[in-house]
Amino acid sequence: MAADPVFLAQLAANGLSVGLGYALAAIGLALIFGILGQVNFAHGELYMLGAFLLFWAMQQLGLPYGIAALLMVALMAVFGALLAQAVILPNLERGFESVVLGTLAVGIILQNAVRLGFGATPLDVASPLESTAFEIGGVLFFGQRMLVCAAFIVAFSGLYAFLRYSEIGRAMRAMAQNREACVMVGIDVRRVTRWTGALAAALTGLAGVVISPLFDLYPNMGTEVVIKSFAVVIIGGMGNIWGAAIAGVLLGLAESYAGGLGSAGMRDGIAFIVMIAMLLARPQGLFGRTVRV
Amino acid sequence: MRSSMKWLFSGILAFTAVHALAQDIKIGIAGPITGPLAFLGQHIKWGGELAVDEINQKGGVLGRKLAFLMQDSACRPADGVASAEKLLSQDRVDVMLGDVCSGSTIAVMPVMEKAQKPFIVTISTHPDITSKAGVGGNKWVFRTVANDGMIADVVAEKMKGYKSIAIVGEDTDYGRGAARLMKERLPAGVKIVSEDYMKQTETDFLPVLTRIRAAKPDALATYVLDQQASNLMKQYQQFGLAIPLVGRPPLGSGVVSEQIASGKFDGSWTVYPYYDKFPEPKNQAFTRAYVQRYKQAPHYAGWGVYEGVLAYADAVRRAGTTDPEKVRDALARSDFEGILGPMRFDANQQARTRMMFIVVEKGVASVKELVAAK
Repeated sequence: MAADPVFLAQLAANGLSVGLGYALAAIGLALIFGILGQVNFAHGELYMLGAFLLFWAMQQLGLPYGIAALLMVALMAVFGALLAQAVILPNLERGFESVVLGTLAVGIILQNAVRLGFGATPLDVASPLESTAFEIGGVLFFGQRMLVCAAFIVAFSGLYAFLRYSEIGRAMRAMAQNREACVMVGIDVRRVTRWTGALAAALTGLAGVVISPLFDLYPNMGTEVVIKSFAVVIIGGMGNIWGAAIAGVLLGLAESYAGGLGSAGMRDGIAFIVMIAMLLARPQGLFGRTVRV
Repeated sequence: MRSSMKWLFSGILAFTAVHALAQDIKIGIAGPITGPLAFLGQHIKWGGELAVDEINQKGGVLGRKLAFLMQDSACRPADGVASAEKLLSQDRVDVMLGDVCSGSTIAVMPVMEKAQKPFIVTISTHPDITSKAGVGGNKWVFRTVANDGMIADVVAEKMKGYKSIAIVGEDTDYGRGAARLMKERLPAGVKIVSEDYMKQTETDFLPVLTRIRAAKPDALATYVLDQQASNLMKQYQQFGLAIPLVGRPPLGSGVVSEQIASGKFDGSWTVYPYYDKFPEPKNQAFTRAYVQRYKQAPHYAGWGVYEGVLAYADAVRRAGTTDPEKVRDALARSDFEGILGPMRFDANQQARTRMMFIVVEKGVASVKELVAAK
């Protein structure tokens, strides 16, 4: 059974689709770290919020999945800008732990606000692709997971182009290199921070709206995502978006083979083993900490 | 200013002292208000409050009102113990009910023994709770629901006829323990093709389902709770599998009702302590009141706590006091008429209650058989 090529190919397909999902979920975290040098502890809750907003837009406003998803990603961008304005900016000069505590507080507040508003009963968002699957040579591909892959490719190329060619994108890269120098040459650091917050929240929200139809929604759902995101970001190099993408795929594949050939319980172990090995051998991660495009 | 504060403070003290004379009978529980099982905590609260309100509307017990107090355990042993200690020492509860997760319930058992107050376990199913109770040592612990050993007897019986099964369970005392008990009783000739235990918060079943799709067992023995089952069943449908879920899947849970209705789980079955669709007048009266108030059908946890409160009130009434020792003795002699029949405890203070054999047919899960404990 283990040697069956169809089975091995299925594990590869699974790993690739799961891994691109990890990468998509982790990029927002990498972006904030790379550009602002801050760790966003509300990252998992941004993902959760994206999913719950999607649920709300579909249930309460009666919007179809596609429109609701796009609208909520836009709303998440606004939320991200507000988060940067209210939590990150006032604490930017105060040192590392202030932002950690500030974002942690936002995470706790969001989790409990959602629990209060939606209750603790697991919810379900229906996507039209949710139970679709197609088969190529005995290997199953799942509609919603393919959408996750597509969302990653679009988001990643969009982000790449944005950082490379737009004025604000260039300013973001400059800030990743040296914030003091940015201030000296007249780059509006506050504006760049807000943009970074908005982009990161929109990307994380996008992960939330495309991945959540695969699973149930509940207020703590971000916790799982945040663990994987940190693993991806540490393996890939803190703040390196290419690193996050490649580390996500590698982690997805490693987990898929560990779970498929070994036992499902080994999956989580893999993320941490690779993470610890990486910290021992290459503490700067696969690609080091810089926002390069 | 200072002295007026002093007056106010002593006033509050005096008020609480007077208040304590005509105090409510307090029923405490440490259950998951946060964490992945928070929605079970919600049902615990609902079931407990419904029972307490029903009793209070009829004048309470011994002329005193009942109060239901809940603290968060997040279903973790350490938090369960901390919450139980707070309820016992600060709120001075007269009785405690058990948590959802067996690990937390087992951790609270010695705390109750030390406090010398009755501990009624109405949800957890780990067999160690039974073996440690009554003649097993801890005389304060009672269990009102069937345990995993009793259920495994029935499950193994129903497994006859399968050639091969795969097992998927949560990586907890419950998942591993219940699966082990089933394996020990499994009829000869049933082959186990794979076994996977995953942490309670795991949502992705892709590797397990991929393996099962390749191995093609006759049935998938499922030992996960509602939320994981919902995720498993969602992904199971994407795989287009036609392997029945058997053993202990929570097929009666409201969380999976849509999946059941799809018809893709026809032929799946489970053995559960309770299912809200049990067509018996007493149960229907309970579910009607529950749905009317909370807009949701009672979960097993809600029912367990509801009946636990009623059984305790019954014991206090018969004892004529809330004195823990006397209530304990009254509980040991309980003949409380519950939804599943009379609640009588054996030497291990385990109720020899009946269990429900639930089968899915044409997109509907229904109670096929009420199985008596061996």
